[in-house]
Amino acid sequence: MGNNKEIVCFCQDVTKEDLIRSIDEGYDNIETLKRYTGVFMGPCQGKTCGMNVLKIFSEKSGQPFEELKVPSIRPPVVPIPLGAIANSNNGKDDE
Amino acid sequence: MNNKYDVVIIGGGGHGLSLAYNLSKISNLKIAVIEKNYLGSGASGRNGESIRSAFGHDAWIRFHEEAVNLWETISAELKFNVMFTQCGYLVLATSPKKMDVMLNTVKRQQELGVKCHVVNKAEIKKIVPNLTTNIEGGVLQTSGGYARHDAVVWAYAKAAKALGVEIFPFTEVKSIDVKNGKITGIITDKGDIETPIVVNSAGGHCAQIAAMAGIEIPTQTYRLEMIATEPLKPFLKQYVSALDQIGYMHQTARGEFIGGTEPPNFLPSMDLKCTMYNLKDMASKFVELFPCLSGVKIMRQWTGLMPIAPDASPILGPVYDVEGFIMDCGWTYGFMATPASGKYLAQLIKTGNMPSIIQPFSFERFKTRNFIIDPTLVVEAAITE
Amino acid sequence: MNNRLKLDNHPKLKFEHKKTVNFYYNGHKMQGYEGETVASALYANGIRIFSRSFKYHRPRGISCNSGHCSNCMMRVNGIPNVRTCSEPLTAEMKVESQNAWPSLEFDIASLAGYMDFLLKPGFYYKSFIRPRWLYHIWENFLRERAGIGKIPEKKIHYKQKSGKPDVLIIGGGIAGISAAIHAASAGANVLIAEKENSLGGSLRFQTENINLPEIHLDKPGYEIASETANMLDSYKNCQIFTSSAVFGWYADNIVGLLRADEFWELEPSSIIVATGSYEYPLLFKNNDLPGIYLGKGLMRLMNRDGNNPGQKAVVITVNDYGYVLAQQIINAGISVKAVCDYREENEIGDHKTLNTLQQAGTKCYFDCQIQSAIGKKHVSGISFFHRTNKKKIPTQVSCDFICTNNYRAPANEFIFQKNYTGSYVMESPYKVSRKPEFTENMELGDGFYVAGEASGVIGSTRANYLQGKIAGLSAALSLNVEKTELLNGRIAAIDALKILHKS
Ligand SMILES: Cc1cc2nc3c(=O)[nH]c(=O)nc-3n(C[C@H](O)[C@H](O)[C@H](O)COP(=O)(O)OP(=O)(O)OC[C@H]3O[C@@H](n4cnc5c(N)ncnc54)[C@H](O)[C@@H]3O)c2cc1C
Repeated sequence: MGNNKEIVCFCQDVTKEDLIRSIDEGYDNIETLKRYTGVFMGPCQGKTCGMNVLKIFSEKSGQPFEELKVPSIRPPVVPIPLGAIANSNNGKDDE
Repeated sequence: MNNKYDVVIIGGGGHGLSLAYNLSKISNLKIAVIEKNYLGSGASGRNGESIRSAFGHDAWIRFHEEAVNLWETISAELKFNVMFTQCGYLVLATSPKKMDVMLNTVKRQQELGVKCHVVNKAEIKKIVPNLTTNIEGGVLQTSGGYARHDAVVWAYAKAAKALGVEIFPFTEVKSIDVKNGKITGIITDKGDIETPIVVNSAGGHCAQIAAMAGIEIPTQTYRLEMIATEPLKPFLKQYVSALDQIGYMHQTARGEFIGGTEPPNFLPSMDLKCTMYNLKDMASKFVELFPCLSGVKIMRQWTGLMPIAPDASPILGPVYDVEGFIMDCGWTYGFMATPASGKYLAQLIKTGNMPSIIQPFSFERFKTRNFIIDPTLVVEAAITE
Repeated sequence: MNNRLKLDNHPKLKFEHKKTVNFYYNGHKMQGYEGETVASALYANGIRIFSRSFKYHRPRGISCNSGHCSNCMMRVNGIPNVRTCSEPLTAEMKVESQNAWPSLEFDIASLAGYMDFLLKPGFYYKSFIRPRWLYHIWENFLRERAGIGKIPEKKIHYKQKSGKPDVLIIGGGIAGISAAIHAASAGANVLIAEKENSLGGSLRFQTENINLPEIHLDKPGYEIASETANMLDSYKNCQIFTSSAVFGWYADNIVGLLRADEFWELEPSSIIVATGSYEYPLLFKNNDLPGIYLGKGLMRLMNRDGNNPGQKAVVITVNDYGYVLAQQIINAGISVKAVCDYREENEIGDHKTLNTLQQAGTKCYFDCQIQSAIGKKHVSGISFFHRTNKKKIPTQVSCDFICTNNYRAPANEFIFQKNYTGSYVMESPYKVSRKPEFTENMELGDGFYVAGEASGVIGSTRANYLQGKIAGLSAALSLNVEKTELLNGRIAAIDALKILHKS
């Protein structure tokens, strides 16, 4: 508690302790852990937390790092404004 | 894993888990749930989270009104807050044609007890101030809203486990054994299981699972894509779906705007990779509906699978050629149905009788051609009236 | 510009500043250089807290300085969540902080750190279940707190463009440049896209000498960067797109790219992924305080932006590269008080740099377990103990800023979007990365190639250059250009790379 935190996910303030506790609670594969804690899902999409999450997960679960499956990587790689894509609309619904 | 269960449920999505929970609540049956990936890896963890009952066909309205009532109590029942919020569900028309569809259905919805009413342009402006003014009107269901999809999966899984259900993630069903027209067991990549009853709640893979038992079901699987934006301060309270755009959208408690659309020339496919085609369709329609989103950034795009029957309605209950084979599939709006399907299919398995509320959705209808066509769906059904 | 803390007399680098322009930060008039990043201009004006974090409203400052993390997001000209570290400054720009009240410096909501049990992951799933009205109240509270940034006030407009280059190169670091040079010289139509405003990648901020015999022996990295970029300029068949972000490979075989106000849909015949690597923060208490920079982020801050982070530095490292970073901080005229290395002394490889540092008065500690960063709104020191010290008696060193150096992981999103599988490599408790499987020709299959650190081989500049060359030639060869000369060039490069890896 308090302000001395060891931050893993900078986007959503998830700490190392949070991750370990969540794994103990049964969210014990990377995909589920991601959805439960929000790591990989903030504005950086895992660019800040990714490897640290995998490392903590591997240490905690005893699963060798080499065997971990990272969460699927989804576009966009950098955030893009909706308007940038929308103006080029040629996929209009023609009833 | 034991090698003998009374019931084996294929698919660890919302439906498989809800059925497992509901069935173990009312029986002493030994139940296993087999999921090939992590729990909720199918459409149950990829959907738009919408919940409503203001549909256009009596069978849909009755069934989903029951579901909405169940949603109100399941957090307490499962001791897990699934974050169901009744923020209101607005179905929107931007064309007079779709507005007519809604005006034709709202009276019946109210008769069947749905808390909904027609809202005109000015009223919509008040409740959804950021929406385009280029609209005809809509129907607002005040009891509708959304819940957190992953939480629903975890809540049912936890509650089911507590009642003794055995759940096997990362286990794939490879085939189903049928002898003399009866289910006898399944074969998985982790071992074989004997069972007299198999439930097909394999989501997008339901036709493959059915084929394993030699049954052909008339669903085709389509891919739907969705996007999530960076989290923003609250600007959209209601759940909105737009009939003309075939789109659905809301802003989550975390602040992300999440939505999906169905683009024209929608073709069956099971590829989970995202496309530029869908991205452009979504971006265009969302900016058209919410011009304020133009400068908002997309953070993530993903794909989910949806099995669609010729009438876009689910397929529930037994099939008559194979005894012990129960369908819980063909879901197009399956997230909102999760609590209700589990409850009534559990009754079916326990008593052997098809509860009347789900009777219209039985497999038989494809033989008798009693199709259930709901004109208010935001999916394009293959058969139209 | 009273507050300017610019490194205008960097001992090695010369900064060519453009025009001075006015801009507004939360209504206050400030000045900066046109075209520098917004974050750089704010930093030069003394701003150190750039945002407040999502849940606990912790102060956050510049960290990666390359547009990856969410630390520097602000509202710029009415658009929310703009990463100010990669947004160029223009005259009269309106920059506003987000998610803090009354200000970034004093944010009342930061008290949330003390009621964190309410906000931990999973808490909301377990509570406010009964009675239901309680959840409605909680939900409203949650919703109001959630989200960063308010919706924008105006629409934006982009022009649609399309292109079908023979070879698309994603990333303009040394690997990408080398790939472009070699593909272009073989006659292919090349498009090279770089997110930053100039080619060169990490070499742009490298003031230490680098040995790249193919170009030059022993020259500072930034000179090699500009020389190779200039070489590329001479190819008419190579389009150079800077400030251009490739944002995704899509299953309909389209690659999306944003460049200024243009949205490009590209359908290249081959793609060379030369996206480099990501740095990850090291884990210790208060590892997110303003004034703690990722290594390359700090190099950008000093050597690209010309900003002065302070007088006394501490470097925390897990490998030899930390010593090179320390040397570069010294090159900028700043003293490095200490280097804290996770490893034991006998694991150090780069004794040369270590000795130079020690002679310059830097204390090097080995076997360090970092306990905590010290400071409230900005870092003011570090506390660590020696791993072998059973009593964990901490040593404290005070400093103005901290440079962290973790192992890097390849930026391989494009590769994995296309579903190439690969394996992880983990060589020490800290070293983790994921390596795609590619051939000797740097080919992944289906017209995809990889070069440089994106390949998972985090190695020398020369290795990246050679990989770029091989990938560039391979992509050109796939266009049915039957040239033995190219094949021979590729064989030579493959051999050179093999020898390099052996040494
Ligand atoms: C993009 C999208 C948006 C949607 N939006 C909404 C909405 O807003 N509201 C709404 O009500 N509905 C919505 N839906 C529909 C809803 O998500 C689904 O109907 C519902 O989740 C179906 O749940 P399920 O449990 O039947 O299937 P799924 O969640 O798909 O579960 C099926 C499971 O079976 C597993 N499986 C498959 N084959 C095998 C095998 N051989 N062995 C073992 N396991 C196997 C799969 O891995 C999967 O986990 C949407 C769907 C999509 C795709």
